[in-house]
Amino acid sequence: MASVQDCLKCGVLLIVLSCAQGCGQSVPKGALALSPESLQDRQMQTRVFSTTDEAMLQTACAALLQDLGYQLDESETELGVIVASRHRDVTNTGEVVAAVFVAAMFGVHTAYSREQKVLASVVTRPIGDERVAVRVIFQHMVWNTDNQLVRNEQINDAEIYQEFFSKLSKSVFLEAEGI
Amino acid sequence: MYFMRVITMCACFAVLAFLTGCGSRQKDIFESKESQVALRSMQSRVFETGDRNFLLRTVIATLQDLGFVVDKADNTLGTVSATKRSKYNLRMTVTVRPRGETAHIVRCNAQYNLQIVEDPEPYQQFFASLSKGLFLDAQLVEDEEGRPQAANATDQPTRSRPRRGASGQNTLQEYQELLPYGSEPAKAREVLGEPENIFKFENGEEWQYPSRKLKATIYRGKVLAVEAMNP
Repeated sequence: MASVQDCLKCGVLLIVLSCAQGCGQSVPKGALALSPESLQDRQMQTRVFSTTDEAMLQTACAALLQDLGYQLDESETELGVIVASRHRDVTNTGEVVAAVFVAAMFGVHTAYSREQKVLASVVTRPIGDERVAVRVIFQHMVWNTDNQLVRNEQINDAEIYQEFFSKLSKSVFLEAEGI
Repeated sequence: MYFMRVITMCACFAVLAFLTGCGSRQKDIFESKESQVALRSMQSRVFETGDRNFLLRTVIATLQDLGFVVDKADNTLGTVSATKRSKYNLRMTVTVRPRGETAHIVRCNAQYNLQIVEDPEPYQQFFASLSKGLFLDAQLVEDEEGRPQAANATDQPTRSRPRRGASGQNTLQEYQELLPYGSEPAKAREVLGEPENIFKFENGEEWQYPSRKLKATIYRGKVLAVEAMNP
């Protein structure tokens, strides 16, 4: 009988533990502290333009986001903020085939990536009197066919940021030329 | 029979666990374990600048440095909402409102996944980052002066360089490195010397050194931050 009582004790302990875990979630340490990586990220995500015309840069950014297929969600020109997003179907044929194969062979349902949302937040701010810095951050979220959020993170690919800024330079030029 | 009893007891425990779980639904509309005063005290800080737009822009820059994406910003209301996505969701709303002519109160509240954050430490970290941001920007503007202007649309990232030392004395950045968040006040006294003025507030003190234009905030027996002080 001792073993049954032990089982019972273990069960109670597990329930208490699971409750404590559910309620005691806290912010990961360092989530709100500057890290050495934050300076690197800032450099990757920022370019400085020699201009006094912040409004022109904002217009160029908005136009570029439209070029890239984003919808503008929010903007506040006095603070230099533009927020845009794009939703895309990211169904991958390979993943679908694999899911169908697993279902046929083992009778197990497998979810695969279905929808992606990319958020772009562009912020301009004057530096001194003659320069304006543009900083962009991309984040992406991916949902699977079960509507579960499977990816939820910042995009840290330097090439994506480089491409954005090279296109922005072009957009600034087009804006200046009135095209 | 015994097993039936065990199963019944387990079921009872499970039901109890659900009931006592994380508070009832009706309560969740105004969920907060801390008192209003304690919450405000941990979520608010005064910054000695009269320039609201500059402060809001610095708040945005700091949030970006911390990996947040700005969701909404309103210059008239003085609010910024942002989200950090890093396998978790951390949402912050920061408000800036004037306090007299030359200062502003910055208040922020955070939500981690589905829970409000009532632990003072994350807020202290945020304000320390914001203080650094305010200082870095002042420094950035100072450093950009007199520099040759680069060609239009340069591929030159912004940089922060150490501030030039003022005649043998430590710079603010050096003081900040010597006295990181959580240092003992005794060490602050050793590094900064005897405070010229002490301003007391709830749970803490502000040590002011007007001659060196800096101040140190001591909160709950620890150094919170060393900051620039406007005369």
